[in-house]
Amino acid sequence: MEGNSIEEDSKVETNEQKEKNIEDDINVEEINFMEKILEKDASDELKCLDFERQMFLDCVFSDGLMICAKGVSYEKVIINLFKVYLNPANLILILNCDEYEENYLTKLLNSPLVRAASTNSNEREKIYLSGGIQFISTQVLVLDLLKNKIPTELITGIFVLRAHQVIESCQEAFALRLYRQKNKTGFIKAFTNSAEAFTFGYGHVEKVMRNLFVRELFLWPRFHAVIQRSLKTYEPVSVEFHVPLSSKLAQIQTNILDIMNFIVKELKRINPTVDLEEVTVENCVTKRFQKILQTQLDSIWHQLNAKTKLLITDLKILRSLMFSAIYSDSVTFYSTLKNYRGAEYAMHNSGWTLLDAAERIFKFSKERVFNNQDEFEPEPNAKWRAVSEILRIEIPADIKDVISDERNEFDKQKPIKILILCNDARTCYQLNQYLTQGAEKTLFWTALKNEVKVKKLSKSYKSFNIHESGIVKNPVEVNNPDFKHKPSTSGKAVRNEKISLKFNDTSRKRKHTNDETNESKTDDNNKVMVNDENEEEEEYIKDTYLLTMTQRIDGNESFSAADFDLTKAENVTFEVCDEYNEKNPSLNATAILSSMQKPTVFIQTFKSDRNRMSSLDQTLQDMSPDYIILYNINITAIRQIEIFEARHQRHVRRRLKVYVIMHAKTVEEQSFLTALRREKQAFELLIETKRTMVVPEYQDGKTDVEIEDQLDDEEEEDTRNAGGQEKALKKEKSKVIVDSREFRSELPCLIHKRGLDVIPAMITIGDYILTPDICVERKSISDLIGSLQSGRLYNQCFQMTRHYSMAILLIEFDQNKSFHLQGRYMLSRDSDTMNMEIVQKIQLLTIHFPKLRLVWSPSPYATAQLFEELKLNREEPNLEEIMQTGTDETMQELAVITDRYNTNIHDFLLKLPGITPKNIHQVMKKGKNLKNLLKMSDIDLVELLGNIKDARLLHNILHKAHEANKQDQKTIKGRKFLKK
Amino acid sequence: MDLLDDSFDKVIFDVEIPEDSKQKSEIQAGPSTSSASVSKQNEKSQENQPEKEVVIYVGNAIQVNPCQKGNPLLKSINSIPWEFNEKLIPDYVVGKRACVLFLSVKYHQLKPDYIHERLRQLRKNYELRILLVHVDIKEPHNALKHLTRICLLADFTLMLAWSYEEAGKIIETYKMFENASAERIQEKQETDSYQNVVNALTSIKSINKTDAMTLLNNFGTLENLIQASENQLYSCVGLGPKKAQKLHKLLNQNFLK
Repeated sequence: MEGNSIEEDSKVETNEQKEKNIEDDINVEEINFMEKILEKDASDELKCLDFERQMFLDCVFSDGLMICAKGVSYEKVIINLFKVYLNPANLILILNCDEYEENYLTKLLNSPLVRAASTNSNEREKIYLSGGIQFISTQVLVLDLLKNKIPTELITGIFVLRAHQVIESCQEAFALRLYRQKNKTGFIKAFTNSAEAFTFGYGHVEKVMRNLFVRELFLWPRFHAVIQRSLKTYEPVSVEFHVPLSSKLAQIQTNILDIMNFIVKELKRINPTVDLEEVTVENCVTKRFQKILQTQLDSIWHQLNAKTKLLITDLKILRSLMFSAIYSDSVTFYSTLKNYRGAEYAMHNSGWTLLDAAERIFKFSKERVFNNQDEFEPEPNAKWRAVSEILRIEIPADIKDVISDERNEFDKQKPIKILILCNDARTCYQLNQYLTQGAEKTLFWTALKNEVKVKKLSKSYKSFNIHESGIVKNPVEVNNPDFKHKPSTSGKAVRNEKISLKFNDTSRKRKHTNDETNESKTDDNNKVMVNDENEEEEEYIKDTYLLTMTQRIDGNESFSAADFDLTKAENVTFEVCDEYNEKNPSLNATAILSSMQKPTVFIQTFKSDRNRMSSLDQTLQDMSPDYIILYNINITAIRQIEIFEARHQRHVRRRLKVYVIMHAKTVEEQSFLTALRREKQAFELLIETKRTMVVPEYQDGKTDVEIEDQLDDEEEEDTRNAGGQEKALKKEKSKVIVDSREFRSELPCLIHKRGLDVIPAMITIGDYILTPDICVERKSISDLIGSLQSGRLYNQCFQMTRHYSMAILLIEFDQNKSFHLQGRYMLSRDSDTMNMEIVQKIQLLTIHFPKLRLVWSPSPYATAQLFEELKLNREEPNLEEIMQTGTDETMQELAVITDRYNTNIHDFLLKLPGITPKNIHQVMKKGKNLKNLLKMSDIDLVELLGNIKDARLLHNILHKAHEANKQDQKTIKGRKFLKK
Repeated sequence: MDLLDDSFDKVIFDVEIPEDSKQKSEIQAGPSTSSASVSKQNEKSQENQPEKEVVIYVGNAIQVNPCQKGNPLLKSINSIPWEFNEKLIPDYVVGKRACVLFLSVKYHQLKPDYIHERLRQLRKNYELRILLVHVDIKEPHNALKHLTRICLLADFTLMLAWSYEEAGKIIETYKMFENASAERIQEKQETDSYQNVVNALTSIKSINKTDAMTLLNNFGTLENLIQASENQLYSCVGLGPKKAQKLHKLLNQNFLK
């Protein structure tokens, strides 16, 4: 049977190919047109690279899924596609776009036709009709499609970003199916940067493509020949620094790995049935670990026992400790670790702190901060020295080389720009501190901030004078002419010493003083220090820092780059650039950078969530640095730099020089290599899949074949037998009313697939209303356990049985797990008592609600089928009537809440004691905001809340400190690591 | 098999839920002749002795229908006494108004009419009517689908057990919980204020319990937390920049849009 259909397909395909040949002739003209667009683009912006041009041409003519390697950005492609379609006659929708991308693209295209869809549904309806490119959230689109608010037939096309997330029965898939049902001509183009996502599950990429209704798969791994060719010729110069870990740190690393190994083994022992293949020590140290855990455990979280949850929490703690050990400094690590040493923590962890390895970690971490006389002498970060070496020796030496080589070309007036890239804002901050204040001061500062008890200082720290009380945290620096630098272990120390001599005064703005400071100035300096500190507290951690390099020769500052004596660059200090300050948002970093006459150092994170100048691409373009120091290593960043360089096509001498600082043979290197390998493997798998993949002709959904039919393939046989019956039913168009919040689950999508009309509505009781009498509350196993424990289910059942004659509790199993084993709800071993408890609770529920019907469904597919059968020959539900049902919270009220209030804060407030569903409206209307509530006195609150009791409760909860009572702390079992 | 099932379905669909014994006689037998004759016989026997269907409830023991003799699940009822009772119509009586019918899926597939008759005999004398199904075949979905429909139409609560032990335990538990209050499955009113604050904080997306506890430990009061700057939030261990940003945004949001 199947063989036949494939043959037929291939025949169709050959026909199609003939047509395609004819089409190709026509397309030549079009291609020329497209090329023109590309060239036009090249004139006003940077040129498209070969591979970007190829990518663009690939997807401009056909619908497809494009999977790119990390850092090989499809952004350019999208921008060009947008330009092609930028016309009020087109209605283009963009799904799955995040806020940053949205802003970036909107700004770049700068057209009134590019906009976000309105939050107001009536406005949205109008805007749809005016065309253009619109960013929209999928959930909104689904609802609009279902309510016919959007002119589906008129949509020109849909772009789906982050396409790897489009699994069957998810929102995007549903939206696309609704779209394809009514619109056979519009395009669908999907993009993703995550090849790895396709390695999870069986046949993932085929499924995603089927859901996207695309037939083409475009793969762009970094090792793609075209990319190789484009990038190879313009490779930036790179220098790798391998910095070994200190012996103590190396020991700490080994011991943490030991414990992780132990925990992973334990996890697997307790949960033999759970697929934990991806949970390995190797993966634990990669960035994706959180995601791996999420994909594997989130859906079954409530089914794991407390011990398992503890182990997972501990694994995450160890992971963060590992990162803390390697990326932060010795003092921070020591103080972080101290939190885990207390007796309190020992009460609720899986017991790793009792292992020998843990004891060794504690010992070594202490030794890194205190020397054998118990004096404060912390170990500086191994990478710090490398950074200052590069800044003070390597780069100046390189500049000298350049000058001597091509003296004529070198633009002396142009200040040198150095970009330092690191993982996160904390590292950024730390580097900034180090460069402006020096290692000793940074570490000392950290110690004070983290309340590490320092009894004695080693000789090198004697220069810092602390107030005896120890309470005052301000380290007041006394300018000591005899400032002695700590003898460092390395040979480079001599140079370091010279540099740090200058650090005894870091006051900004003020003229620098010489090494021999006048005694009289001491007071003044003390004041400065205090001020500094306050400022520091305020602008604590940022994603970016701009430093200027200043050189002092005999007490005189030199500003212009021309005077800047490059050969003496060792005597350089770094200052925080005053103009670059978060407090004046009007000042753009780019503007400052271009006006800056001094050599500058710009510290930035790879990815930034909070800054205006967020993307690295943007920074590179705006700043055009001469040198880049990769303080941490990141695949995406490396590729972005490569592409940046390829775009500029500069002569080898003028190119960027990249310094990579890496801890060799450590988890840092390992996690980098693992990430590289995983991506490569993912692409290899995808290439192999693409080679063998059979894509049916009708997959694009543009033919007349009913979309339902093609999707029916996966269903059981008996549904096919009943096909005739179904068809007859479809004409009647039975409808199911579905709670809007249920659209996160797969079921509405599957119900729709069966030909039932899905009517979204905000309903307060139940999730699905099938007939005027039948109301269904759906629970996945995990939800069932969760809601049985929280008591929510009891309330839901109470409401359902009160308003409907047939209230159904639908217990839905996971289709990918065997229904057989699911008698054991808990997946972890040694949790039989928990299993029994859950059955008992369900039984108790049935005793209290004898009218409640239980339905055990093996999968959402079976549920959808059951719904259809239940609706046979029964009355249709009446939406208006349903809206009337419900007790206090009627539909109108819900609408009010979502329309006029900020729902998040509404939910938060409702959880506070003293605020009840009755007085919440008053609070929302008159309370303004939380800070305003804080200001209110008892009497004000009484007026707002309506009674003294509630007012007192609320006042108490806001203003008093609340301590956990000991018993509670013990009973707090693991936590849900990712909230949905 | 499918054919058999379909005809059976029709029987079920024709059966209206009996309101009282008068309506009972109007029940149409399905097209399947064998089942029709059997059910007619049943009707006769029931009409002869309609008064016999009194609710049987004897003290603290589970009442067991003698037809369950030899059912292995009885072996795992060991913490509560049970006794045979000749007058029983359901298989087990586990409370004043609660009864249980036991069915194995295997048996149901062999004799699909059996359960239908049992349901009919039972009438409306019990408030909580449980159909306890022992899932003892590998592909139970089809059979379960039909049983589900029967239960929905005939006012039965479907419980599944995957082994005799589990089935026994379920019956035992029903008896044990006969008079139990719903306290265990009801929402607990939290009185501890610390817990209240933690709960409120965790209602915010992206804030989990650990985060909430860290925040409270760092800031002490909710007031301080609300007044805190984004950077101060971020300086808490475990809070990433995104979380800090989200939290800060939410805490400073105006109530009205």
